[in-house]
Amino acid sequence: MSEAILTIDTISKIYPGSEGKAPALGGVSLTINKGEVFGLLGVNGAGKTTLSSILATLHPPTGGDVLFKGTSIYKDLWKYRLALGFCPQYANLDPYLNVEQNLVFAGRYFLMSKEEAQQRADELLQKYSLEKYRTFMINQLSGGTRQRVLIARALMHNPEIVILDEPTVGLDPDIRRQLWDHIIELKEGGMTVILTTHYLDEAEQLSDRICLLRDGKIQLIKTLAELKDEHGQDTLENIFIRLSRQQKEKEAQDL
Amino acid sequence: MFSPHHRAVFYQLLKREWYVFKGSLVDTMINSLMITSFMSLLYGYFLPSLGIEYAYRIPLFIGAMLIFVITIGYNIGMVLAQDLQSTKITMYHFALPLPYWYVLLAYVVSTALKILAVTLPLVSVGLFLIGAYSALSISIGKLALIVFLALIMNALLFLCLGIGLSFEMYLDNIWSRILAPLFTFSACFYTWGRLAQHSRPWSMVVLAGPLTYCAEGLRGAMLGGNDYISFPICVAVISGLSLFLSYCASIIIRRRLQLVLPRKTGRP
Repeated sequence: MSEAILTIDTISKIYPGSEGKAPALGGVSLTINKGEVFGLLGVNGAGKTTLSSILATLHPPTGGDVLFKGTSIYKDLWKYRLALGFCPQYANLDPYLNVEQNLVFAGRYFLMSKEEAQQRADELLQKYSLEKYRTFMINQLSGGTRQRVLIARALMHNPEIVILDEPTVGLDPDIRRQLWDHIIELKEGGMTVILTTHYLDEAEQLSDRICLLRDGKIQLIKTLAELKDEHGQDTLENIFIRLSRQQKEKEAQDL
Repeated sequence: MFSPHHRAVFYQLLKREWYVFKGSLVDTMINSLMITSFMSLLYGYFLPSLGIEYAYRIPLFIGAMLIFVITIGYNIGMVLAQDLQSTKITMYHFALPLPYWYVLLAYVVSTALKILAVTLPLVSVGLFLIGAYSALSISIGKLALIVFLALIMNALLFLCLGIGLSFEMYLDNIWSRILAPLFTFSACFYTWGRLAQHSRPWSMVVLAGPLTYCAEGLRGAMLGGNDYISFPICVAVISGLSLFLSYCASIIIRRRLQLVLPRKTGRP
């Protein structure tokens, strides 16, 4: 049986100023297992980024709790943050530092020694083909290169869980494929990956389980094989289209 | 609360600020020296030519230094406001594994040190250029104390503004709505004693300006004598304001950035 690393317990989120409107997240509960790639899928506004920013402890939920190995993350926030790597949708790299300094400082912020941080930065620079950009400032990098630096920064301290929020948005197909390979490598290395995406092919290729969010609520959580069996479709795209049609029909009936 | 881990991360945040500052050091020094030369021309030549007496030029020069300090603080606040709108490295720092007030403290210390590094040559070279050294009667202890407090107060003020306001709001409105009244109703361009001689009501209004106590405290520490607002009063007011601004900063940061805080019972 898989070991739960994160348990999300009826998480809700209403942004300040949005009181009275539909919540960004309305009582989401799910479990993420150790070592799996968990795909968070949904259309724009479904609540993917809200959920991932709550899991990354950027913002608090309005209600509910998140348990890391059975203990509330809010009880031992620092321990949880040390176990977490977050690659946000926006490239929040330090614009005043070069690529190498961004990585080394990230390691140092997460309590690595100077030597460890430098060694790990060298390793990641090589792995993500960033060596020639080592001394480049962030504003000199292309979007794809920034994205790779962002992922490398999230991995600097060898976290147990890494959250990748739309990591391949706006990237060329070949760079996307390279990033996919890296994500598969992370999984093979035993890391738990929470992958937020709206690319169906990406979720299909990488995720062990897929969670489909709609209007801040979970529509389904299944493995790809379960979904294919259930819907009699061969690709996630076809399943997604079928589910959307079913949803629209249901809404029309409700009206 | 003061764990070695948190201190280690805090030290790295300070080190990062030093790297950033080092990167712009040459430009900063050139700018500082250019302003020094213009200020020296103004206070060493223009004002005496216009009939301002020698003894009055020096306290005016010291007061004018504060305008420069505020301008640097304004720039640092603007960088923060812009970051929160675009890059969001501030959010990354506040999501590091340490309490948010360590990050706040790192920002305050670095802002204060940046202002000090830029203004120190301006003050020392400037006073030499306007021929003020003979008039100085510096009390090192008092000067260090008032400089420290004034720097902390300014850093906190612009952190509050930079984080609390949107970038557009900051860019469009700070000068007219905050800085202009702050400068006008603070004894930077004049001494409080002289104003009180001419207009008692206005001098009372100026007592509400926080920069009044910075300017008068600096004058008292550098020039001695009894012509300025009492030094202990200046220290008390600036300390009180700094405490108040610290409180405001912690509220603004938690609300604007919607920070996650640890709870003993878990659930937020």
